[in-house]
Amino acid sequence: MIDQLDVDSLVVLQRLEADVALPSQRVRAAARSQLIQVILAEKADGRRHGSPLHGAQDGRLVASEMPARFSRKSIGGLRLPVATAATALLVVLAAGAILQGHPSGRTTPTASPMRAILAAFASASEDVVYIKQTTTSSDGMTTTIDTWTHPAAMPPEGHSVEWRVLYFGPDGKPVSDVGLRYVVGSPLVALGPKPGKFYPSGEILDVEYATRSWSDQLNQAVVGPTFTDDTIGSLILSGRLAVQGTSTLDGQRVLELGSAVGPEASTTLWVSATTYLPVRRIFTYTAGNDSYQVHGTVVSDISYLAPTRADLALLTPDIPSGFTRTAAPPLLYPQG
Amino acid sequence: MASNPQPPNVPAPDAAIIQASWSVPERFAEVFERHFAGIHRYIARRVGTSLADDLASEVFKIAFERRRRFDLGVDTARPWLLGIATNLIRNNHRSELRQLRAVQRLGDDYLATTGSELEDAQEAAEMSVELARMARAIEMLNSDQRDALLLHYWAGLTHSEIAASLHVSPGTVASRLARARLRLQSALAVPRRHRPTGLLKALLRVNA
Repeated sequence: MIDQLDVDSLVVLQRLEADVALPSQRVRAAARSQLIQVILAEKADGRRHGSPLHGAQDGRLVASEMPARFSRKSIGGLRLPVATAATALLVVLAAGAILQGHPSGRTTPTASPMRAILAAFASASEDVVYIKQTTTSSDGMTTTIDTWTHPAAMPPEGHSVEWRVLYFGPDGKPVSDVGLRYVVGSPLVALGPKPGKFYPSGEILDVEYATRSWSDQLNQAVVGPTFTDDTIGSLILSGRLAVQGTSTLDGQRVLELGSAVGPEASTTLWVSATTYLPVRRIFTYTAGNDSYQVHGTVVSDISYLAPTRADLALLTPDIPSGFTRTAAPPLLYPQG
Repeated sequence: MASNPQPPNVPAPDAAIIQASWSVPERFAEVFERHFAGIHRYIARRVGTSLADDLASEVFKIAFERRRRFDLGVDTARPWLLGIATNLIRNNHRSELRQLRAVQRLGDDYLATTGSELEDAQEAAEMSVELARMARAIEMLNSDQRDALLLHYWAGLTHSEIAASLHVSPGTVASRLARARLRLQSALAVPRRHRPTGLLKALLRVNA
C-alpha cells in the first residue's frame, strides 16, 4: 500500500479539479428559494402535527433523533418543537404540551380574557394580519421577515388564501419577496420526493433582488401560511395558554400570556387589553453545547389591518422598476 | 446547560446554527450561505456545472430535513454536506462518467486555448495528455475508491472527516484511499515510462 500520490500525479489530479467557476447569483438565488420552500413546508407540517386539536403529536424531538451528545439530560426538559411558523407562534404549542405534562404548571387560564380573545379573533377573521419578525442572536446574525396573511383565519372551501413573505438580509435590504395565493380545496400537488407531501396548487409570484428578476409561477405547490388566530385559538380551547398579568406595551395596556418552555426557551404573547388581539410575541432560545452557545430572540410585532383595498394590495409583492421577468424556475422536484 | 454566552459578531460553529434551527428553522439558511458555493463547486467538478446546479440545491434541502441527525459534536457541517453530495453524485454516476470522458477528449481544445510559445504549448500538450489519462484512471476506480480519493484531494477532507461523511470507519477510508492511489499509480506509471512523443508532436502541430 502507498500513503501518498507522487508529485506529478498530485499536480495532475489537482489540475483536473481546477477552473470550476463559482455558482452564479442566479443559481444561488434559485437554490436559496427552494430551501426556503422546504423550510416553509416543514413549518406547515409542524403546525398540522402540532395542533392540539389534531392528536398528541406536538413536534417534539424523539430520542432516536437526538445526537448522543445531547441526551435527555441536556435537553430533555426542553423538547424543542420541530418548527415555528413564519409567525413563529407554534412554539406556544410546545409550551402548552409541556405544561400539560406537568400538572403543577400554570394550566389554569383566566376564563374571561380567553373568551374575549376568541371573540376578537372571530370579529377579525377577515382582516389582513401583518407581522414583522426580527431574529437576533448572540453570534451577530439579525434577520427580518415581514409577512402579510389574508384572511386572518383559515377560510372555508372555495375561498382564497393569500400570503406574502418579504425577506430582508442582514443589511436590512430586501432579499426576496414572495406572494402566494391558492383557493381552499384546490387540487393537491406534490412537493418533494417523499410520499405524503402534498399541498394545494396555486400561484407564486417571486421577486428576487439578488438577480433583479421576477417570475410568476402557476400550478405550484403552495405551502403555508400558518394562521395565527387558529394557532392561538387552539391553545386557548385546550386550556394550555395562561394569562400571567397585565402591563403596558408601546403605550397600550396589554395582557401577558405564555410560559417558559424549559430552561432553554421561553415564549411570551402580549394581547391588547382593548381589542384582545395579539400585538407582540417574543421567543427566546439557547442552542449549542458546553463549549459554545448561541442565544437568540425572535420578536414578532403583530398588526390586524382592515381588509381595505389598500391593505389587500399589500399582499402582492412589489416589482421594482428595472427588474426583468424570467421564466418560472423549474419545479422544485422532477415530476413523474 | 452551562451558561457560556459568546461575544457578538463571532461566527458560531455550524453545529450551534444547526441546533438553533431545530427551534428556528430559518437559521438553517446560514448553513446554506456558508457552504453552498463550496458544495456546488465540488459537485460541479465531478458531474459538471449543469447538473451541479440541481444537486447542490438538493443537498441543502436534504440536509435541512435531516438536521436533527447532524452530530453536534462536530463544529463544521462541510463533511456532512459533502457526504450527502456524494450520495447524490452516486445516483448520477452516468453524469460523472460523461464528465470524466469529456476531459479525456479535451486534448485538442486544451491546446487551442493555451499559450503560443513553444515551451508553453509543449507543457500544455503534456498536461492535456496527463489530464486525459488521469480522468481515465479515475473512471477506472470503483465508486468507493473514487469517493474517498476525491473527497480527500479535491474537497480536502481528512481521513476521519471522510469516514464521518461516508459512514464508514477511518480504517476503511485508509484502505480505500490506499487502493485508489495504487490503482492511479499503476494506471499512470506505464504510459509515463513510454511517453508518447509522437502524440505530443502531433498535438503540437495543431497549435503551430
